Amino acid sequence: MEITIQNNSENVIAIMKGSFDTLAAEQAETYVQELESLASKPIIIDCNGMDYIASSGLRVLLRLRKASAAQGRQVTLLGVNENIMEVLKVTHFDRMFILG
Amino acid sequence: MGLKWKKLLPGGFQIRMTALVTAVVLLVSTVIMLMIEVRVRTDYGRMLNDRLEENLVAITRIMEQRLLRVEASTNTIAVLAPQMLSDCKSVDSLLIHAITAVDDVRGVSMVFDKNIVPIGGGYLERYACYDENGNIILDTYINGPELEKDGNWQKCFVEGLPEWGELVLSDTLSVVSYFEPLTDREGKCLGMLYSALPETYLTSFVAEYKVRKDMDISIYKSDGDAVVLPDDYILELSDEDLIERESIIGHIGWKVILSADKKIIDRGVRKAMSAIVLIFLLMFICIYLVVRFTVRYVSGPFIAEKRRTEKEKAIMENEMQLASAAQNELIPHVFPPFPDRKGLDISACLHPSRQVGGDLYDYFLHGDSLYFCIGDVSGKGVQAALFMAATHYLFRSMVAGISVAKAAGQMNSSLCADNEKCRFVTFWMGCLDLTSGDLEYVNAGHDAPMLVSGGSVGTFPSSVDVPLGVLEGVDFVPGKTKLLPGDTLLLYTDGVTESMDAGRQEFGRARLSKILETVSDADASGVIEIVLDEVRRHSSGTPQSDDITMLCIKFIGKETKNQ
Repeated sequence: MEITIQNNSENVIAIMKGSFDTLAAEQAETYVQELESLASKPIIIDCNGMDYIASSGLRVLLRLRKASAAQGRQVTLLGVNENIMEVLKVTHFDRMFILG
Repeated sequence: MGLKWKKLLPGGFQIRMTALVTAVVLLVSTVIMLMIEVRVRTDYGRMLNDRLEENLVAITRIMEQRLLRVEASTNTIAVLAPQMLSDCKSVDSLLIHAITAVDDVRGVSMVFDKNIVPIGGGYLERYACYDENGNIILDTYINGPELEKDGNWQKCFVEGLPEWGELVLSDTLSVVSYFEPLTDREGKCLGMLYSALPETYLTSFVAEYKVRKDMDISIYKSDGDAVVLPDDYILELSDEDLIERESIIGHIGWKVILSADKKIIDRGVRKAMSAIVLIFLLMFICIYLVVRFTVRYVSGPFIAEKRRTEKEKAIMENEMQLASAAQNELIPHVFPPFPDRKGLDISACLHPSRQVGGDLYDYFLHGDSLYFCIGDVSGKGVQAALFMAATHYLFRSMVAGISVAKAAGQMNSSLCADNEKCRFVTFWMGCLDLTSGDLEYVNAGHDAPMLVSGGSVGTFPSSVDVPLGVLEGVDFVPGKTKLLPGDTLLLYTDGVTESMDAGRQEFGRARLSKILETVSDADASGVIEIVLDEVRRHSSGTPQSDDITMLCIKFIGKETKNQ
């Protein structure tokens, strides 16, 4: 998976492209730490290029969500495709993030 | 670097490599040896020829000089003698001088014409020679007419100078002789003079000058008569097997032939080659030892490292196998589990994609209630397996006797505590009353099970709650339904519906639903088998990426309330 982080003045955008599987989750974990350490701006995950998410991927999102909530930050998932939305709905995760 | 060593070192490859290198080295060595042999043979042949030539030239020159000395000495005496014939003592001193002047000469003799020294028709001969003690003796001999018969006289005076090498028999010596006539100033015949050399003179000369035992010298006079014959073994060899060099002793036309057996080239080449092969072998052994030592010295740490890693890996694998076995023991896998419960048929399967997995299923009876569940822990491997074991433990220890919603809440609280890595488990749990068919369930973020009822397939209302371990203090909302006799319930994890084919197409819920439409006659294990076969066929040729887990519960009929 390809992950790019843009640190803007009003928010932080993480662009995630490809398949968010177990392997990618291990890779993403380090980026999550980076996101957590950045100043308390809203976090936007750009999911336009993401075609699959495994439970490992959900775990990483959950971890980010929990850390952000503790800092009083919002996490928005942007451009979630149909398949991933179904997974989010089944696992009830759709209610834990702002979907844009 | 590390990768290269790994590739080079495995036993099979090393043996193959050694065999290949050995074969190539042997082949190359053989070719080199053959080339060297050709070269050695040529060089050796040339060298031998040169040696023979040099030897021959030297022998010829020495022999010529020695013969010339005898001739010169004899000539001098022949010139001086006629003036001294009047005095017997002068003749004797001349003879002594002549015999001592040249080493090779063993005797000097003057024979006088019977007209010059008339002694009753015979020929007077005065000579000096060595006795067996090496003392010079002077003596006189009267030759009869046999001197003329032998032809020496005629040769000397009628046919001219006799040839070198004439054999003259006297009473003391068998000799090779050189003749000179004695004449006065007017050319009148006075007699003849000859210097005698021992018969063995030429053969011993030849023996003295042969440089090699395996070559031989023969000497022939100009008329072809042999003066010195070669050894028998040379005579027996045909011309093709012989190397021969010849030269001429110029002033008398004798032919000196140096002969050698061609086999001495073979012998020489063999000798040289065995030395070369020996040197090669020693060199190879040295190179081998040096290379071996170097490789061991250089690769030693790598090999030790590799061995340690392999050992650690083996230990890890062993541990993983034990973990796998331990995990397998956690979940029930004897079917049917409750053979005396005629109203119930259960079967299940769990195929982890790795040695340990994050999926689980479980069930137990509490009175007439069957509690059952299926779950899928986020992630894979050991950490997921530990979380799975914790979930399983909580299900076994908390659920009995309370409502599934309350049980789910308690399990969630336990799993949320100290869950820094944010692991969670999607979980579906039900409680079936075997006497009524009433089913109460909670769905914590899991795929809804399939219900096969009377040939049609339906799903339960979709999830309304988050997975266990996600949010603290969630109140789970139970769902309720009623199973009819013959209804089949299939619980599964996404390893079933998301198994991919080579074209990355998922198996899908629709396909699962369609297959289940055809299984209403099958028992629980039959249903599992059919679905698993279809999934395997779908994903054949691609590696299994997720755990595949199913739990099938067939409600055969209501049971009377258990006392």
